[in-house]
Amino acid sequence: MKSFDDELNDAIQKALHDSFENFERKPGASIDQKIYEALDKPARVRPLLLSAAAVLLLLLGFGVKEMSERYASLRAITRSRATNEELKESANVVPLHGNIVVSAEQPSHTRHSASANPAKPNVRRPLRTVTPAKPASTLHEHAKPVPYKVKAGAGPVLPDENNTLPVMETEHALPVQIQDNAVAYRAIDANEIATGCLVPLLVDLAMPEISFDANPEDSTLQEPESRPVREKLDFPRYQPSDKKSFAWIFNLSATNTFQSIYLLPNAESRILKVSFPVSTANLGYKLSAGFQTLGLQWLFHYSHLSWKAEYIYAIDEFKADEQGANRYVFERLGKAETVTSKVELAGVGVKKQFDFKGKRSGRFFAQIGADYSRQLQSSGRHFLTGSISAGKVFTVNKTTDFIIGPYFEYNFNKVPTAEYSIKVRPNQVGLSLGLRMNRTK
Amino acid sequence: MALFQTKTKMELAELVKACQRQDSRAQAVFYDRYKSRLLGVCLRYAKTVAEAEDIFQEGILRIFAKINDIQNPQAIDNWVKTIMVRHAIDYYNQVTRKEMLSASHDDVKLDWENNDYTLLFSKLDISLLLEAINELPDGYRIVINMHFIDGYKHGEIAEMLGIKEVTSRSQLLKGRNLLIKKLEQKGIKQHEIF
Repeated sequence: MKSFDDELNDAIQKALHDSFENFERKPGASIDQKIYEALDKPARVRPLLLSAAAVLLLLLGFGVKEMSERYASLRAITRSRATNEELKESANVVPLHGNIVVSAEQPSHTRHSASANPAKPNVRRPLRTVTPAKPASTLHEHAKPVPYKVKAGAGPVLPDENNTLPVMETEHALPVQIQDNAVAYRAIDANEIATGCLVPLLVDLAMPEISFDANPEDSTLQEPESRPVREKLDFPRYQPSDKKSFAWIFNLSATNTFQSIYLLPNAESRILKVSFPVSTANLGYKLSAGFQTLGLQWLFHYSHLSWKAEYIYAIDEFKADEQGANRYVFERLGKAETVTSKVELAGVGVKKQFDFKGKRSGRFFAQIGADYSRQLQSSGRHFLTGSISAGKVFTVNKTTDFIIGPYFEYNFNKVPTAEYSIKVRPNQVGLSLGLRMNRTK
Repeated sequence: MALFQTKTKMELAELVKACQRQDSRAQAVFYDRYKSRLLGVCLRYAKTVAEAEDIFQEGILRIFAKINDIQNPQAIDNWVKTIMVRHAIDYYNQVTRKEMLSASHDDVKLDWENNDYTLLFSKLDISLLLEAINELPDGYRIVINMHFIDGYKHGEIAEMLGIKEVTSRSQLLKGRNLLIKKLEQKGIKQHEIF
């Protein structure tokens, strides 16, 4: 038989066991934070990510270098004049008046043989007037062919006072120069030289006559159309993307985190003030890589974000300011504590890029996108963000574009902080750099 | 892809093994699974909330440090609780062991005839029960927690605390009486408030 003590012990044991068997108390966010930080390993930049970042930086550097060299060579070409020797080798053309004579859009009866790369018609400025050229037979009737020879290495040949060409000597037989006052030529476009679109002038030309009739019958001279204001201002026009095109996309965004704060009601909260100081601790970056197809960009990304917050916690001390007779205003004093938060995210995203092009202003882009990310650290939070970006597009080469412009990212999630009564929405603003390498099939 | 595995899909044994591999994600899942219960244990064994949180944080780290010692992952629930209880005991042993052994608290006489003590426990809110337990001296509090709530036998208590079994029984008796007195006072206060 049990004693009274034993019965009492059993009763108390049962009562306390039933009361505390499932007794739980959730720790505060600050304790969770400390535990998570103690459990997290030091951030290791994974070799694959490091390699990808290095490759991206190399591509960016290569692209910038290539672009600058391209620009420098283009300027050199536009400034320089092709030498006689180069043109003779490539086109076998006799320079007249120091200018290069090239024919394009010749009348059908004009015979000329092209080089390996025949030029495409690319007349920037039409002739002032054009009258149909006379048939060769007609010309030969009226013209007086003047045979000539050219010395190798001879300089520009200038007509004498009689407007006839002097006799020159060369080992090559040049086409018969038709003595005619009508000379048609046009200035060489630098792009033609750069792209190798020269047409060698080899045989006799039937030069169309140039007249300055006010109302020629078949005049191609047209009054310049009154261009709309939009065109005059060179407003960039939307260039729809080819949905069948395929391109590799690489992007690096340097970002600064700015936050919006949400205070949850909590009777036990002792926070007097929250502020977000301007600091390099708010800087981060985002690496993206993927491809563009079906008019959209499909990307994988990695983000390293950080932000800093300062909390003023109330302490049990007050300051009393006297205001008037026997009137005091009490102010509770606080203690400041700074918290730096770091987040590593990885995820996927989709973007839509809109390309614009102006005649003189160049190419521009605008982007809108959405990303889904997951935190790589212990808590494994999910993030959903929307982003916009816009800026300038530079052509690196015929398959590669470089883009640069401001970047803004809005976070749809609120992130809990060390204080469980406070949540923040970390948004990003920064600069976006990217490469688009077209691989259209 | 492992990156997008959800926490609910991880089996307990796999979770323990992952923690033994020091997988930080698994450790976080493990911590989230047991944190509320273990803090409840610490609140019972500690004198104040601050001490409870200190015991809790150190105890968690000790659990992860010793997790490689566990042989049977299926018994992880009891193992985790035992580690935390032992750590709470060690926490007070560093400061209060001598005090506990030489505790000379006044014996509390109970009036058996006029009170139904068991009804006190059912009438009072758990927060008042916890408050009363926290107000007990360290030695009484630990023994009451270990015997009445966690179910340790006096022999086990004596071994864990490094005392004699008879000392454990004596501490339990005195602690019980003091707890009942405190609950009586709180019961009256609660009646007056409401």
